[in-house]
Amino acid sequence: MSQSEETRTATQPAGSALARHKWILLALVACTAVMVTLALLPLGTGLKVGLVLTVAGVEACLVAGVLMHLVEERMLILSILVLTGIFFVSLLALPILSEVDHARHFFK
Amino acid sequence: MHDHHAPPGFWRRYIFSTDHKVVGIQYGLTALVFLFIGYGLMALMRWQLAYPGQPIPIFGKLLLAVLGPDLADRGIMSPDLYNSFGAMHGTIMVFLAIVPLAVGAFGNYVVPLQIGAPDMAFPRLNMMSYWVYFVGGVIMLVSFFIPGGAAKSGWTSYSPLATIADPVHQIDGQTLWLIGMVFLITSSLLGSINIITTIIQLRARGLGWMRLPFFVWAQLVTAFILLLAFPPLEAAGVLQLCDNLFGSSFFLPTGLVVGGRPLEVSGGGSPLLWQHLFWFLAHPEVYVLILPAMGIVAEVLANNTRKPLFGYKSLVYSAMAIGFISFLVWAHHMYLTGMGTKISTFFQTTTMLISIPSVIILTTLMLTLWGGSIRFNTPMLFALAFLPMFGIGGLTGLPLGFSATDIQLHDTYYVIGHFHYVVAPGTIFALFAGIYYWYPKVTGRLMNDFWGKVHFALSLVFMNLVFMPMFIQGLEGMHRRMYDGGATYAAGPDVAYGLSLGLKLNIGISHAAWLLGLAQVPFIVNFFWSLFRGRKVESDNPWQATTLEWATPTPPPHGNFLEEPVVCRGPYEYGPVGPGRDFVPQHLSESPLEPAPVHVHGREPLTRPQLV
Amino acid sequence: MHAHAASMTIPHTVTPRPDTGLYNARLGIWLFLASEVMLFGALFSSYILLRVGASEWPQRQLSIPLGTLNTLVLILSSISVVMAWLALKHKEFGRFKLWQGATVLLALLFLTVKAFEYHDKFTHYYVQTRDGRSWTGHLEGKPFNLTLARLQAGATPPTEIVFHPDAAGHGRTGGKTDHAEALRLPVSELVKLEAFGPWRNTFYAIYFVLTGLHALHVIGGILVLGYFWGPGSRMWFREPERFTNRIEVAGLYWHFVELVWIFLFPTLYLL
Repeated sequence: MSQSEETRTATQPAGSALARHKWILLALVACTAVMVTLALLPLGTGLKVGLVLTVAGVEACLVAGVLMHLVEERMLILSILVLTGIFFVSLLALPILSEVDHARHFFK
Repeated sequence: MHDHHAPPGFWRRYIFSTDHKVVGIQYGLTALVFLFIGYGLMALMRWQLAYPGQPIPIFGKLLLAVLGPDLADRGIMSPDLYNSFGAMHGTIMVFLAIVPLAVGAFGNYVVPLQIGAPDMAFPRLNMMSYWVYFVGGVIMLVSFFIPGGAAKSGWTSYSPLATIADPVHQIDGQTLWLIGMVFLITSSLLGSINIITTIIQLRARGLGWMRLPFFVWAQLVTAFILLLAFPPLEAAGVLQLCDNLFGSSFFLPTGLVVGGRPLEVSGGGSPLLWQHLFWFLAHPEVYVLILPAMGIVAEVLANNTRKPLFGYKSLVYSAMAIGFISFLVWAHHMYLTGMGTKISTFFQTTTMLISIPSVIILTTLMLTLWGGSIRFNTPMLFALAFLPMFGIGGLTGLPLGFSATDIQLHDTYYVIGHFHYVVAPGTIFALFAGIYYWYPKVTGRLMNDFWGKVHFALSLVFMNLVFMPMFIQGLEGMHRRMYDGGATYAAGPDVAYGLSLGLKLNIGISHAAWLLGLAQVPFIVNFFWSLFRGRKVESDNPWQATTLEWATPTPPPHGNFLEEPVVCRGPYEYGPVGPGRDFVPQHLSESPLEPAPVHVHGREPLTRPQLV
Repeated sequence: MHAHAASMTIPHTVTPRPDTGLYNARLGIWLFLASEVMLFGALFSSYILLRVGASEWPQRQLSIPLGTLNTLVLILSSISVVMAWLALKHKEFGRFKLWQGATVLLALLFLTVKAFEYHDKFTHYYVQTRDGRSWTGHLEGKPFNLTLARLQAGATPPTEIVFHPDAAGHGRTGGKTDHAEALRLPVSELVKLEAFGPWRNTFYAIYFVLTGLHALHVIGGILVLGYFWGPGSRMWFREPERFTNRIEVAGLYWHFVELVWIFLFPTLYLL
């Protein structure tokens, strides 16, 4: 029935859940380490921002997808989050696009 | 949930109640009080506009006594006081009166009943939502009486004006405005989470999505708007609070000079940022004001034309489309702020797009009237008047949505006329329709129909006398924030002609506005008189309506339904179905016209309740 | 379903509704998190707009080691919070107490580190003299959030300050602590003396608001998680399923707090 999917992880024996979360822990720590390393490397600002934020995005996906079990979440909640995502992106993008005529140094 | 055998005491039952109906009534009464206060502020401002610089009769002395000679010397409204009243009229009307009435009162009271739920999904959250709103309202009211007076930078609180408007006081009206707003926003968030969860999770068996009354749909979309559009304003409020209290420069640009002296801040902020974050909420807020109103009108129209809504699905999809697009139109308030021209074109396009679903809704509601056997009772009159009034408000918005024509009309009385047509004779008329319509469910008595019609007729006349001339004033170029109603501007050397008519109209508008207030007396008296003396309803369904709220006892007890309702049909099955009978309630399993379905006891009936 | 009015039971507080597959609080918390996304979204939007509009954006103002430490602390806590929930799913109340307690302690550790970072900023100063010279550095005795006005407001206003300027190129705390030679500056010569608070520039403004709001969320998390660890955990013995749901919902909130930090860390500390 309804809970079958998300309880799948829970019905595993406690040991395997711990093992699985050890891997996630390692992955999250690794992402953090990569971010810090990238930040300390002498790279161009644009490239650095892109790379670091990509790694941050991966790390965030791990947390949201696995720890918040979004990968096996109900359609209803996923659709609400997609809707939120659209508004989130427009809130991020449109104000900055409205500066296009002024902040020319940024939009070369 | 645990047993509630012992009847709750007075405080639990009436003050800190978790019953959605009590919370709804609390919201409704508080919001009506704020509606009155908001009107009062404007009525005083209208004196200053009609007779600039003259002492206000009667109330002038009161203002002087309460606020002191700084703000109301000799009973004359000072510019600061005028600005305060202007800012607070907008704030109170939008955030403390209309939205709480439309969403807090009607949403809370009617939605759980219409979906056949025993209460909201989170009753304690519901109670908190009201009390947080109440505290926010109290903070707003207190701000009138602190040194320096209430916020005076418009309901939009544009920075940097909002930060520098009162340099004398550390804690000024603007600070309290922001703190109050944080409370109001929190209240809205709690309420919207509750409404969405309730509608999704607590629908009665058989109440599929396309069987929801349109009012519920309107509330669902509204709640989503509140949920996702309000947080950016909360963020902006926090940022402006930092600017005001801690000396940060989020919205203060470099090189700001105030009173001839450079302002001692770091600078580097962006005034446009405030406007983006503010309008990200405040434009969707317009649809928060209008969608529940449309929902109420749809219910009343279907009930009183005795026929189904025309194009129910178009209504639903249009409401969704409005909700979605409303997040992408905000910067049409900012064409003249120095924002980029390319992005203006984008927002102009989305603005024109959103008018399509709005027009669809208005059209389907009008087509609903076609061929109906209309009952002209008070709620129906208000609902009928909503259609042309909202139509005027909507159509006059189009020239504002075009970035070219907006250059002439921006910040003039035309804008005021436009949005007041949407909100005042639009939304408020719908809210009146809702009050007259659901009053018997709440109290068990009907409001007096004759005095209701008097209230309607006078309100309709004076609403139009107030707002119609504003279009003329605006086209003449009269600015919306002029303290003296444009007198000094009209006398200036740059004005070759015009405004003379605008100035004369000021006097007429003011008188109409005061008479509009008088026109509410029949309503107020009727409202309280009917509580005790109104005609008692003979059945639980006095309007012979189809939706579930009329299947409860009157007034509904704690827990609402005596037995769990099961929905078998769509929301608006009006029409001749048998001798003397022209409607089939949603929860009735057999239509009187059709032969009774083969029904073996204990099995499912033929008309299967659907779950999705 | 047996939601009779008389008993006034709200349906789906524990068991999921068949067609949505959700119990009420699970939907409620996701709606709340959606609104939180928009709240922080607005602040990130402000960050971007301010940064693009700035003539120069201060970089590397914060201690990367401390920031990394706090990131790791939050990562650990988001694992422990999920372990607490899984322990309940396996009906192991003792293990739940252990993991939940660990989460609260980690959250407290996070706040402690954050408090040190804040304190550093309020004891780090910018001074400017009449002749236009300016330094950043520390005042003798490390006073907290002093300003010129407060310096002069005392009963016996000092006539000069002892200032330890940062070594060249090191404006940030937690980096090198070696200072150049101490300066003695007459108070009458000063035109500006301010700590690195939100008034310093838009970077510090958005830094304090973003991390401050995040810290408020951490405090909220501590209150909620701590309540369920302590007095709230009694519910386990009455309604174990409902309590497990509560822990799941609280955990989702806590993950979101971690999620926000994952973006705060690079945008404020690294880039």
